[in-house]
Amino acid sequence: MIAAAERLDRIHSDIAVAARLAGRKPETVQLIAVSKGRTAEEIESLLAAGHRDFGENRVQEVAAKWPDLLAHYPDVRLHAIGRLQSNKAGEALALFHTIHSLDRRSLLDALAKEAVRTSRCPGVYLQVNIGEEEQKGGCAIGDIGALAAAVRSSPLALAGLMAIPPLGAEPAPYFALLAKLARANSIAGLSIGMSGDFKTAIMLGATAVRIGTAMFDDR
Amino acid sequence: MSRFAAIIFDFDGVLIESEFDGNRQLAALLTDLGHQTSVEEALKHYVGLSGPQFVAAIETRIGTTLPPQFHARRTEQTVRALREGVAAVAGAVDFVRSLPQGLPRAVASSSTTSWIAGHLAHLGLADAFGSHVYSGREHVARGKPEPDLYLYAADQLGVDIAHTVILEDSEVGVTGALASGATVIGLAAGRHCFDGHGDTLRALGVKHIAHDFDEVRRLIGLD
Repeated sequence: MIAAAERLDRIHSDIAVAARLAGRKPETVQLIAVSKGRTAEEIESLLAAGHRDFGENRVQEVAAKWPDLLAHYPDVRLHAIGRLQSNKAGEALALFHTIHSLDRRSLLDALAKEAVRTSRCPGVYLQVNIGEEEQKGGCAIGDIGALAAAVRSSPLALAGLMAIPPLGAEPAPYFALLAKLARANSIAGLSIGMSGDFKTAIMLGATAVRIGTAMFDDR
Repeated sequence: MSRFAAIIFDFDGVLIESEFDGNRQLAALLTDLGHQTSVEEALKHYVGLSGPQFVAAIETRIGTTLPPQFHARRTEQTVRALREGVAAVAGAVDFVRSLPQGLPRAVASSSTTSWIAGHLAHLGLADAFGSHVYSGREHVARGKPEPDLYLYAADQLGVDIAHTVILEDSEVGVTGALASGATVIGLAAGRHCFDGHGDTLRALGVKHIAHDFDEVRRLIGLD
């Protein structure tokens, strides 16, 4: 059994190598531990090792699991990484520091309304359906410009673009395409890369990587 | 005839042994300047980079700005290597000479075109690539690990990148090559490729690894 601290060190070291290979500073890459489906005990081991950014995809799960943990670690930042329903906008705003899955105007409107009401303004990533898959969440590539403009004129902060390449496909071309789309729209952040491909993502510009398996499980 | 419409070669570490020689000199130079660096470390951290990215990678790692004498001595090393030549990677020259005449080919490298052309001449391959010698510093705004240079090379060859095979040896190189949408062969033939080099490239998504040019020949269907 490898301790959480050791797993965390290894991942930070892998991130640093990949960043330096691309001539980037390792601290420009934010590491998010995907803790959806993980127990409070599993999460606590990473908290004790000093990690503070966690990704969750269900409002109900966060509301059940995190209050106690947040009481002990108030500097934790929670990231919404799953599809959000517009009617959960209020709860999402109360729970999450950053939302990685803004993919439609109706959700933006709901979040913006709550942001005005509560004065909480999380950063948002636009989730892009980069592989143009029918069943996949995310806005169409052609809608990035309009949605980004709408976020920029809302109280929310545009953090970047997020995408998940098609399952089983080589991810690098999709990462490179997303980076190109971000540059074309003057968007700085890129939330790309998971356990199996985060080094590739970092070399192609990732500013946030979302890692589950490698953070929680022995390799 | 190959099952590919074209072949694109990285240069340093694929056709010539400059990665090993150059990183041995780089390690010695950094050590001389007070930043103890082994050839293995130099190879691990700086292979495949050029220009500002190369300098940034070193400065990030050593935590300070490189002094002017670093750049002056690098230039001296480069001039000497270009004058004296660098050994070919085993089998590389014969492989290039034996390519079917009708198979379009290019070099896509982070080095300058004058470096590439000079060394091709040393190897007796001055005319092997015609005008299709492309530099990440000269032909595109964003060099490796971005895919732009390979896309540019395929465009200049008049072929679809999806029908192109790229030979690459470095992590930065294979990342850009995979991002271009081409088929990528990770070549672990140079002296700089220590044990586990193929696994490092595989972990980045490379499906085909060759340890010599005979394997390359089989992988691209030239036998």
